[in-house]
Amino acid sequence: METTIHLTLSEDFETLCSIYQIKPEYFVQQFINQVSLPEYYSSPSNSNRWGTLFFLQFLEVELSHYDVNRELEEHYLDTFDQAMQYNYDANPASCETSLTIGRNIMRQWLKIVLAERAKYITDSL
Amino acid sequence: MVMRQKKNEPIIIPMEFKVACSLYKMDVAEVLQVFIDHVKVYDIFNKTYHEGFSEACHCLIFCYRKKKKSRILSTGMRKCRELFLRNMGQIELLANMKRRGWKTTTKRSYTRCFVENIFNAMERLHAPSDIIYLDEYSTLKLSKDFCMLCEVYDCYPKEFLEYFMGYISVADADVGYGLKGYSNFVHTFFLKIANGLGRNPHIRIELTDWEIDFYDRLEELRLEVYIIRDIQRKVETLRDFYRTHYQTMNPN
Repeated sequence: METTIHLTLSEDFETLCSIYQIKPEYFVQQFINQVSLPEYYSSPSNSNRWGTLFFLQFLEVELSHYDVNRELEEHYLDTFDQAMQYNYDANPASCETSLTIGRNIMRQWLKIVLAERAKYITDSL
Repeated sequence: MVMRQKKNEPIIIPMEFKVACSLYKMDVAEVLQVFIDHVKVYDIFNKTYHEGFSEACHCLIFCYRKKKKSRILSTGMRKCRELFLRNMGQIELLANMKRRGWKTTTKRSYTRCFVENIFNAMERLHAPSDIIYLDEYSTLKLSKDFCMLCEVYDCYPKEFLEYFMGYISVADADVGYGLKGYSNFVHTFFLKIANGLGRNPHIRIELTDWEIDFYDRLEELRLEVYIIRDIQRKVETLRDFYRTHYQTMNPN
């Protein structure tokens, strides 16, 4: 999926990008590529863990400002956590299975969340 | 005699407390001594907050309440009831007195003679000695205030100390602080001690590479447990991590 975003570059960020000749788009893209619960939990010590850790820290600090269906979150995170653990116990070496399973759970979660939201809209019509 | 037995039982230091002390690079005895030194009769009456003292005194009161005794008997004060009440009255008076330029510390120091009066007259049934052994290497010095309050509340030093230690768990605190309505003043007090309250300010902490790795990993793990929704399991995950670290740091 592609999206257009509007960003304000801070002075310090811009300075770094200019010095190292990094395109901000490229940098942000690299960051986004790292943010993945399935990838992180399949291999938490991987060197690409920082993006997801940033996201988790962001959640910790900012979650209260966001409207999330708590029940669904509980349920799907639980399922996700158990699947990851089961896979780890069964076969610590296979990141691939873990990735696929994890990603599937996330997809299901998204589907339900979207359905819930749509339901709210149609109900109020 | 039952009383004598309880008096001589060794103080049990919970694993979680050892883990917490080791994590913050503190000696168990050192922390307990700071706690004891902040227990003052004056602060039982003092209604305004005073860092450290208020927490320590509340801890005593909560511990006493937990025993669910209907009223305070103060067995040790039986033979000096009148003197006890008179001097306590004086301390209460001081605590409630408002006069310009009178600081809490000044007022607290004025209570010393009243505490001493009671201390000299009371029977020492619960805290017979000024020193108690923590283990074969370390002792704690009990102040007159502390000994007196043991008699007032009919509690053994061991009970107060174990109550205090029982509320300290880094794993619980890690998870708890993210939850609504969580508060643990005993742990907050512990963190204040970790930050230097009542301790020698000239301690320098040196960390090994191994420890630095541990703290780095800890930062990550604290975030990682977000997906574990069961509070108990979240605490356990962190607790295991802290314990493993403790055992590596303190073999045997």
